[in-house]
Amino acid sequence: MPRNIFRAAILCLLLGRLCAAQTLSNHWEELSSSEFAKALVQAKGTCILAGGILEKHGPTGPIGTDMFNSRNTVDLATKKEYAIVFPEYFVGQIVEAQHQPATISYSVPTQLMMLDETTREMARNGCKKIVIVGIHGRDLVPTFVQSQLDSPRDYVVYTIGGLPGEDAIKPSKPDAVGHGGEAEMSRVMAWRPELVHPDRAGQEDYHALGRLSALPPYLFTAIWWYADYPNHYAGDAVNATAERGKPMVDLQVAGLADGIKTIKNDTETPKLQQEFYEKRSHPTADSVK
Amino acid sequence: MKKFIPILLTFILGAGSAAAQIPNPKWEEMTANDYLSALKQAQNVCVLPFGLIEAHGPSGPVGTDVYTVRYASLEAVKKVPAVVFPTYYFGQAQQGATSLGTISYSRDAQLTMLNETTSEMARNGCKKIVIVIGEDSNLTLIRFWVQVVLDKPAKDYMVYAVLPVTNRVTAGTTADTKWAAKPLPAAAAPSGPGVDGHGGEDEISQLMVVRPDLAHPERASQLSGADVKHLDDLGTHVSTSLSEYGHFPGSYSGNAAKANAVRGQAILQARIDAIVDALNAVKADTAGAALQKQFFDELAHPVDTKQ
Repeated sequence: MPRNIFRAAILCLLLGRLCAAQTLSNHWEELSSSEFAKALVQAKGTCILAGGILEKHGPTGPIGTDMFNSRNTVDLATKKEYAIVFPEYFVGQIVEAQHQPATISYSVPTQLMMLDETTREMARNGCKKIVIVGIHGRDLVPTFVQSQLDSPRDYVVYTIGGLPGEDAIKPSKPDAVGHGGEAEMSRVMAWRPELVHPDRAGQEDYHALGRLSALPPYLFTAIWWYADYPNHYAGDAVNATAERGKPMVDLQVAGLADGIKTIKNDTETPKLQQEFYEKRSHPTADSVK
Repeated sequence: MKKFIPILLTFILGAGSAAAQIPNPKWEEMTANDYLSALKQAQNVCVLPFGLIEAHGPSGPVGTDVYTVRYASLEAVKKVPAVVFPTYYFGQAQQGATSLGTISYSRDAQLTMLNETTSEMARNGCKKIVIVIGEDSNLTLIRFWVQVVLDKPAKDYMVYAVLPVTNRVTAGTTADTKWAAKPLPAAAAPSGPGVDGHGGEDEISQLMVVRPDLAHPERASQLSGADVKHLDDLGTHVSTSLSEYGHFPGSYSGNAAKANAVRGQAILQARIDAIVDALNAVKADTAGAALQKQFFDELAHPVDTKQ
């Protein structure tokens, strides 16, 4: 018996339960019903809804770039800190790219309905802590998460964002930063290099056109992105490499794993949420005090 | 002879297309420019493999249907080029909602997602959308929904559905005599009576080809897949929403103990062949779109429709 296998066998004998637990897949769709029950215990009822979107990513990247990056990060993070990862999900907000080929843009009611039904179904299956990661639309997920207080439920929805990663590695040049640019493409290349084509990066213009630059920066309007980037491409991806992407992915995985661990151990939020729901039903009782 | 010209042309063009496969037919893995080339090569035909996330007895994972329907669809488009939409699992799974891991969306969500997904596909140039049904329990949903494509507003695209080739009839369901599937080859035959069903020998055999690492026929007896006959008094012609639950409350029917990849390959090949035939027919079809346009024109002005 090779020495490494022997060592692993001894370790498994010592930590039998742990070894058995590690054989469970971290992907919801790969588990049988009976495995799912064990997975819930190991995950402490924590499940991840890792989404993305189907939209153009300049001339260089695949339509599923966001979904690939989000799911790759989550897959690696949940191998460090176990949680159950829901199947591929792409029902996000992307109205601003509807003019580009292959973008799938669901209506606003559908985006919210699907988030609500998906999280409720996850909770019904025992996911009492649901973590949303990477669903597209800067304000969609925070809006949805905040709205969880509108009626009582027996689960908590969290979101993890603002992790160090893309901005932790200095770009090769100032105009490499942006949608479909160097950082995003490098992250895909760290995992699926065959889907990225940095050689095509110069085929389209990625510079901001500033067609609404007369408006003050504190004035927000829906057509702002299209005004700047009608090609839906905002950063030069010519220098994207897997080597550049790998440390970004590693940083995000570490941050995400930490976040998942914190959520698994969190007892305060579920307690506060229940307290809120109870007080919400009797607002006058609180004001009397 | 006129009738055969389009078919002949399709075979000639189809043979040419098969030689020039789409390098990667997966929607989500193409760049926007690659998508435009793929769409052209696909002659605007796109496939929506339709699966579910639902319990599949003790032997299969909850993603069983998704894995097999995507595999069959992706194999088929190697022969007849078409663009394949990403993983889709927003179907009807209410009857399995008591089993762990099943994702059961509401009826409104199921219909909304079908509407919006196909209209988004069409907006992106998929003028012929082929839904490949992954399992029997969504047969009625898909047929219903494809029928109501004729509802207002008028569509500038066609939707077709590839029905399951096995047309399996288990207790609690009624035989559908409206279409006759081709007879399956001998290698696709079950090892005995009553072994096929949801999470049964036929489904797990296919999984053993697609994802052998996730199939566990050795666990088949951990749960009974036998008919508990709680609703037998209703007879064979009466059905309710509880028909399946009344017979198989554990989302498991049949017995997967003798599932094997040889049988799985034979069933999958029949499914792939059916999808290939369907895609060839869809590409050749010019009558459908013309008739649909005529229908929508008449729908807008029914009093002018010739009597």
